[in-house]
Amino acid sequence: MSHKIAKTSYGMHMDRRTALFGMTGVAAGAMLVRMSSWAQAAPGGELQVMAWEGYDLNAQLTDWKAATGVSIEATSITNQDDVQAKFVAGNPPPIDLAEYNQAYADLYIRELKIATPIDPAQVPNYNADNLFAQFHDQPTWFADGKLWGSPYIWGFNTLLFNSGKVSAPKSYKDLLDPPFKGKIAIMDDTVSSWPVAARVAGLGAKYPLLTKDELAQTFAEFAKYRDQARVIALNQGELMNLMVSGEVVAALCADPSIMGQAAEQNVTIEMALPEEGPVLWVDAWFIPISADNIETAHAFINQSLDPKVQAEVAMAVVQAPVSKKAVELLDEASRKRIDYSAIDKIFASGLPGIPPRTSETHATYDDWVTAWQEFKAGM
Amino acid sequence: MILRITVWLILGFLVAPIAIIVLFSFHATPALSFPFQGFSLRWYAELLGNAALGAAVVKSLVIATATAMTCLVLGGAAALAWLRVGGRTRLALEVLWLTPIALPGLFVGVSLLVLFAQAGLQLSTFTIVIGHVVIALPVLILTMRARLSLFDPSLEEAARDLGANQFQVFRRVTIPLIMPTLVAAAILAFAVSFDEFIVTVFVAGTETTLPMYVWSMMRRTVTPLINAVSTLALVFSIAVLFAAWAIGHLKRKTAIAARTQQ
Amino acid sequence: MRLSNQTTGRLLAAPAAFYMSLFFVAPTAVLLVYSFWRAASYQIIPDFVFSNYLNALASALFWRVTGNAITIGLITAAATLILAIPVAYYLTYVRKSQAILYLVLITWFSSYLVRVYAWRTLLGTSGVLNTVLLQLGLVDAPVEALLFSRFAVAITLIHVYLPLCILLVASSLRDIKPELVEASRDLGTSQLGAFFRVVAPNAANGLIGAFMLTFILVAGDYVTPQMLGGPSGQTTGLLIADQFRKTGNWPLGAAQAFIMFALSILLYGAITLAGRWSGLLPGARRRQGAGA
Repeated sequence: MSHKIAKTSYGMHMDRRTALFGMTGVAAGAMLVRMSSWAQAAPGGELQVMAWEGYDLNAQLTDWKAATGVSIEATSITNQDDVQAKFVAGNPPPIDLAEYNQAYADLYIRELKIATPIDPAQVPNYNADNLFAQFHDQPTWFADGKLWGSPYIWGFNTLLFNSGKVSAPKSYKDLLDPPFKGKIAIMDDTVSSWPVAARVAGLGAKYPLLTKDELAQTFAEFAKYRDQARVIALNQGELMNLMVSGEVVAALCADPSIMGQAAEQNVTIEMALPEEGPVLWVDAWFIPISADNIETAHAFINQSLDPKVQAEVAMAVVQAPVSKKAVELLDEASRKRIDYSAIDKIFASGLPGIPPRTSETHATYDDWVTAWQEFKAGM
Repeated sequence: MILRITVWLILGFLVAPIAIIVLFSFHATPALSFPFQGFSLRWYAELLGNAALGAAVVKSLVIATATAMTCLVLGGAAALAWLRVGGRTRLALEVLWLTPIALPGLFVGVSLLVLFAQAGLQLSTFTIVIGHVVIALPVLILTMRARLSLFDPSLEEAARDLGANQFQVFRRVTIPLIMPTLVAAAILAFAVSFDEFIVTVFVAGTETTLPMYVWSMMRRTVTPLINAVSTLALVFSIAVLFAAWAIGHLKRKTAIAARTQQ
Repeated sequence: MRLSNQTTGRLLAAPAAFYMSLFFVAPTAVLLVYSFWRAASYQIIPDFVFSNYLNALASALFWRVTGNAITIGLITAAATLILAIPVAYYLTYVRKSQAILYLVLITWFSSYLVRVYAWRTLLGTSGVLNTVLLQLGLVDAPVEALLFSRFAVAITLIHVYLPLCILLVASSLRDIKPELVEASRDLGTSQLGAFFRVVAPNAANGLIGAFMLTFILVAGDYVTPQMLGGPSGQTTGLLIADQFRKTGNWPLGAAQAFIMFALSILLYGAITLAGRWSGLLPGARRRQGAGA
């Protein structure tokens, strides 16, 4: 801990402020620095960040890194389950900051207890003035008077289709029509595919709390979509390739960010907002229990909420910022992509969760995983 | 003649996809499917500007080098041992050294994962190397075993008769004789480690090796950038193979020259 | 003082033996212990229950995906061996070509993940293979079934494991004296005849070893099947990996891994027995074979 701070204090790139606090740090001793909230101004050392590829802000925080001497070591995740898998074993890695989907909030914070509270005083950008109301002190991230996760970026998955080949579907159910036979892709992404499965089975309102019978009913219905599908796509990159090569013409529920990439290859993919609704997601940062550079983690979160950084990362990954102020900094195309003035309406339907870990009455997460494996195996 | 044609057809089957990989690394558009739309070096340019990718390459090189070195030392000693022990000891050692090959990487990966978790050992570059050695060492021993069966023990015998002690025999006779084999086998271990994915996924903590980076990059988008990476990796392995061949060739030449001079 | 050869040998073997005991035998033992424990919501509870094994064995899903894994494994291993033999034979008895050897090594060294994508480019609806088939007039419309099928998985895995298999077969052929082959050729036997009459019986153990090794590697692979196989590409490996990375039910995953391991051994036994019965494999021959 202390050596990390010390290292920065003598680092090459020191602005005046860092230098000043660096000296204070040296004078007052590392312990004091750690305990005092001044430390927010003296971030340093190596910050281990676990995030989706492209979401680690390494590219957007170049100036901050140069000014503070912080180096960001990013670990890519390919699945939200990668994150908790690392922390529940007997040897949690020293990751200072990890990204998580809102559906996992209960699991991480209340069940597995792998998150430590964030000190809002060290994250001045976390304020009602900067953030949309949907992300400020909401129960998903703010509970028992403590801030467990800091929302950072959001978006939605929805029905995508190749407008050059098929006409716009109005419902997920339209994909069962003959023109889509053997031409659709279902994403192997449980966070967005499960809610859709429940919705097409007419059980969307109850998700994620379904009985075992309802789970069976859900997948009996969803099997029709699998029989219609060309592939259960592992990830976005794969979907993108398959849509560009014409292997599939529609994706049941996927990330619209591939539209831009497809356009570069002269394939027009559009998104449809089906009547059953898209699947919203909000990713937040949390500080894991095994973090060892907590000050810097706070400083990083603060930077990630800076309107300029928010706008840059939102454009880079083609998603939406949580900062109100960032909206005007977006380029025109990105600003128009989502109607930010109607954000209340977008979030009115609520954010999906995941099935419970243990339950007497409902199908558990493990039951869902098994059902999903059977679904994929064509059973 | 028929045999020859068959062999070349099979080799064609082996090489064709590699040729496709290399071809598309020069593609002017991001598409990875035909028709091919012109040559460009844009992916190589992008490659040079990608710091995360560079870090992953460096990480993989470090891990593969450490794996090859560890395997070289352990495997070298094991090979020397293999020339000496017989009977039951030999059988026991073979089972111990060679079983890991007969198990899927997944099995090795998850068993190491539970061991490290149980021991509370933090996952790191170090644990990745441990895992890679477990799968590379048997490959190395297996390769060397085949070559060592050609080793002539009477040479050691002769040196000993001339008054050399055990250490001198190793240094002057055995090691020089098996060195080319050892180096070739270590390069193999390097290659196994450099491309290892399945075990790595389980034993990596916060590290991102090249295959892991490629995998996570594929999640978002698949472009010829990945082809460019693997083309460079291919060029690199060809260079290493050539170096190995050259070393072996030179050693043999100098050895023969030295012998004829005496 | 001069140490005996045996003693020196044991001393020299010690480091590698110790390493493998610590990082292969010990973890396998820990995994075995885990397979009798229980898991509840990411908590792993020491216990002694057989429920993991029973649950796995009673699961239709488990047998379905294991069936997939074994089918893919057998098809791929057989095809790989058949393709490896001519190349290895050529390398051993006809021309010891360094160029071919290095070509094989180079393919072995190229990235696994990227090769999977390359095959996708080749097999897609608008891929190379379909284009060729259309041009030749062999089909009227692109064959969609090339991709996301057992065929796609098998051909990719053959490509991935063929180099290794060639090296294994070549190393088992090396045990057979070339004079034997030459003698039979002089007597007017064809290359094929020489292989079946002289080489195969003598190298049978090695060939079975190469087959089994390929089979195990392929049946345990879950990345390629998942990417190219569609429903038939869901394999046991994927199920096991999911227990460790998704549900956190390590004990169940451990039990599934051991069942898979046991099935491989059973299969190995069955093939060896079949070989003996058919007379291809002479009785007990201990000192031969390059395989595992």
